Amino acid sequence: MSEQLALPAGGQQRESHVLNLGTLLLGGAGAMVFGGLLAAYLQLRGVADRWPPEDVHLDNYLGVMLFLTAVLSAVTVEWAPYAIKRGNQRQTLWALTLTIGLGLAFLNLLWYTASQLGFGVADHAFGTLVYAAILAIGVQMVLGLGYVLVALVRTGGHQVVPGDHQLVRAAGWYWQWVNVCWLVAFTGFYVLQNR
Amino acid sequence: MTLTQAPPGQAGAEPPASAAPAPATILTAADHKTVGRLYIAASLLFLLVAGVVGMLLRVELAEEGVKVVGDDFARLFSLHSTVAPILFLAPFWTGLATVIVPLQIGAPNVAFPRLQATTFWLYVVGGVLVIGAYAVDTPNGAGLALSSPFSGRGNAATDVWIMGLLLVSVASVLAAGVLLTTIVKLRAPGMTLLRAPLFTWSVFATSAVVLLATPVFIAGLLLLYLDQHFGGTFFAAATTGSSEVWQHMLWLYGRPEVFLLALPGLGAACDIVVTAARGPLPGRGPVRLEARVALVLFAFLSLGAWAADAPARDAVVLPTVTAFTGLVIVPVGILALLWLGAGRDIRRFHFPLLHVAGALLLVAIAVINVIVAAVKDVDGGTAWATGHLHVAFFGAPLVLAIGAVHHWAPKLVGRRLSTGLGALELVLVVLGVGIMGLASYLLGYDGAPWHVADLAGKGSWQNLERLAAAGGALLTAGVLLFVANLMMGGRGKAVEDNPVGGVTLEWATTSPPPPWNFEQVAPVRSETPLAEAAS
Amino acid sequence: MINTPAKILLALSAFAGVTAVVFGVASGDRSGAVLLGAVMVVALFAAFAVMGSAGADPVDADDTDEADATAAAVTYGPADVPRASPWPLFAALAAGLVVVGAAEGPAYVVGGGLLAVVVGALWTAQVWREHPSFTPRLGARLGERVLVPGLLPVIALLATAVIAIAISRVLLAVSKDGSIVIAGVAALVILLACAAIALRPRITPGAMVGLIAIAAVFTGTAGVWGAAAGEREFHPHHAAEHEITIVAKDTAFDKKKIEVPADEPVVVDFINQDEVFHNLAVYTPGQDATTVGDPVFAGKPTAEGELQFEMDIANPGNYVFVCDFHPNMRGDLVAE
Repeated sequence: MSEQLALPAGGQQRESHVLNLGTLLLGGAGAMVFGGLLAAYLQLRGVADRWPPEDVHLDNYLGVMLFLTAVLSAVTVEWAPYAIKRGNQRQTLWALTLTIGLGLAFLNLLWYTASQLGFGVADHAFGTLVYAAILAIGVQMVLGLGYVLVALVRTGGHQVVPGDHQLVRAAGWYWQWVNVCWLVAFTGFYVLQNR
Repeated sequence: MTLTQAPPGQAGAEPPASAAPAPATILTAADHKTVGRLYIAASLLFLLVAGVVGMLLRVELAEEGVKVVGDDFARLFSLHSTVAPILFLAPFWTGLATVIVPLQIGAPNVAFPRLQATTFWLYVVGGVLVIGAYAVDTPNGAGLALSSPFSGRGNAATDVWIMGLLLVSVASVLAAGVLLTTIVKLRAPGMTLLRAPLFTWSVFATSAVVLLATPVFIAGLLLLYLDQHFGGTFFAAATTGSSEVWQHMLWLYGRPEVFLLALPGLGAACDIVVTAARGPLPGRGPVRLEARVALVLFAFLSLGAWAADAPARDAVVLPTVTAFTGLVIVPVGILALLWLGAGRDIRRFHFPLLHVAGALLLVAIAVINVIVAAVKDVDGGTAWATGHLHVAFFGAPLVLAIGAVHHWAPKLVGRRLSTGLGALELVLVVLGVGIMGLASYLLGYDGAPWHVADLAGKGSWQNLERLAAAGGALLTAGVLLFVANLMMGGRGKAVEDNPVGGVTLEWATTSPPPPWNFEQVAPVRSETPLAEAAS
Repeated sequence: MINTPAKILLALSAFAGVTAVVFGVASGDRSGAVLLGAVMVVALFAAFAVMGSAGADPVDADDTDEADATAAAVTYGPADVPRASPWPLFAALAAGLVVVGAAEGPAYVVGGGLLAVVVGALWTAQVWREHPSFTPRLGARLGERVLVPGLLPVIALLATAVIAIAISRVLLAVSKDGSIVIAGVAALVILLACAAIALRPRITPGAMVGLIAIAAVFTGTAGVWGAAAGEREFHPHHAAEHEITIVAKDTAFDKKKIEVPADEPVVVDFINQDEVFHNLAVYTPGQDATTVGDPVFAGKPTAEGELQFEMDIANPGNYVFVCDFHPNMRGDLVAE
């Protein structure tokens, strides 16, 4: 029983990166959904006679706005763990609140984009893909918002403190994966829109 | 301070009151052992559903002109081919891993116990939706065994069916994430990954591939839903859509998954052999990488199923035996050789070894038939494929699953299962699968089609179909016997910690383990910590 | 530190990458190659994640010698046992409701979403209480300072919304007179109940909760029944089975000939896309406005807009339809 003295310093340290790792891995799985959509996209693009189909023009303005919102939120969400590491709870709360605001703006813009597409889900394979991507990014964004909201609430309650701030860090990681997903969709549908 | 707690008085399934303020029921359990057992129980229930339906299909096929299931053949066939792999085999391994992996690596629980509980309930809800879809109506198409896409607008049952599968897939991705994190982050001190038992190792490899491959299936389901619900033509090759996308993302459970149904079984077989031999599998050097490399290679090659070359896909029997994926036989062969090599160390008979032998027998049958099919140039969509699916991708993993439950029963239910019944159930299952498979193979060589209710063909087909039905009956009886054995297992005699002479960490704790799994885990210094302690 | 799990993932990434290239070049099948390429990228990220998450913790030891040097026994106890929680089950049910909505309609999605929000809140609350820093006193203070001022208005708002929606469903479902009676009775009940409560200040919290529960169940059930029954018809009219659309554009009708049933109401969608006035009038041949006759039917005129009206031609026969403003806009109408 003398070995007990050599125990590691309790459960805290042992689980130091468990949530981070789990979040990163599952966020990667979320991104693989977009890997699948991208594969379908490029396949169809390769075999289609006309790409994108006739009368389809995705509004670059909306796509770029969504992209910029995502980039902005990527910065604010990184600010949160940066601040909490330095013990600045107030800044952390601001950063997370801003992130939530930007996330809501993203969802709102996504919704508007979907309403302005000018074609239906079943009009052509291109349409099916666009709606699938919008649906998938929307769901992941909602999950990310929930994650950040929980981090915000628990930071406000002093349950996330310097040295034990895994939750804020992990929420940030998930958020970045969602941004990556949008980046994939943005590249496919806007940057590579015309063959 | 005393960190060592008194051992729990009653080594029951439920934690003592002091451990959990609110008594955990089945509905609120977050303990990995309870969640894993629930997984296994639910998966066996779904297996019974699939088995009964499969039996009905077999009877229908056996008697020409007789309508047992009437016009519902396609509907029941779709149910059978959806439920057996997706709602039985995959969740079964998830459940077994959820119970066994933390015990094998010396962890008190899985990484996110409540998330793992959530995955179980997602799986149950999704499974109920899938079955419910069949109860309401026939979902469009003939399930995921259909090698070409179906198009046209689906009914409500199709939507529910897709969404049920979506939930089950999300659950399996989340569960894979939980298991991966557990294995990477929660190993006991000294338990390097190279020292982790081979079942844990195989679960790591499986989970890594599930984590990367199943999201693609989810994306496919999403596209399928939009396509079916809104009446699009996404997967119809004739229009703007693409059947390639279907083949890669949806067919046969999204391709790589089919192989992953067998991988944890190979790991379990390794642990069974290790336990019987009371030492690690043979290999060179101090780290003995051979078995580990073989398991990882098997996982990698399963991903290669996406690359089952397109021209060969239509020409050769199944994607599963095109040149690239045919390579999976290499790691399986390596493992078989390693098991045989360990055989000379086996001093004492260990019952589940029989299951390993049974599975190898079935694999051998499958391999022989692949060679025969290649020589005889058998066409793709024939009864041959039915036989091959049942022997190689269902029968062999099923036998390994039953063997694994027998092997780990002391940790699963706290008792040993009856070996008498066990032997009978093993004979029934292996014989059943073998007979059914052989009959289907022979039908295939004769050119009989698959997926049809009545074979209006040669008279000899009729006899083979009857033979297949008889095989199916044996298989069903075997599975029922196994379930009965498992249920009666709870009433056997209490067993000591290590009744099988195991050398890996899960045998160091009580049977069944306390809620926190181990009172104390000593530093691990080898692949087989218990063998070291004994010597 | 490139540890064993990271090595496996790196190998997986490399394998997927090589296979993607070889397969892509050999077969030209893009989707398979891209899938493998995506696996390559994400597996690489996963490997980095595994490497990055490995700290100085003995658990992360990978090298055998290092592991043996640092390893010490660990002990586990009741603190390592996760508490029971009903929220995983409810979370899965919420997800189930949402996906059922994919087949059955958005009502399920909304219901599942609301349930998910509630489950998320309660799950977070449970985790909150389990945190080592939590004390009952802290909880009480939190309740006073955050939950009561923050949540009470929200709950009141939600309750008001539910009551309004539920009662409106009932009022819309029953007949006109019935709705007046029900509204009156409901108002009276609320008045009497509130008066009773006000007159008996010592009513126990239990009785209060019971009363509210009964009212909630009653209102909720009635609301669900009302929604299920659907709204009553507000503009009862004999259903017209026939419907025709006529478009006036550039001072011309889009149709030269219309066939309608005789002695049956026909719904006409009259769409004027010009800025000037047009209408639809029906005459017996030779008697249109330019000469002498009365119209068999005369529709309301409109400038740039849509009108919907019913038209009933009593006797079968051949007619002409014209625009009274532009007699050259004309066509034949056959009533049978």
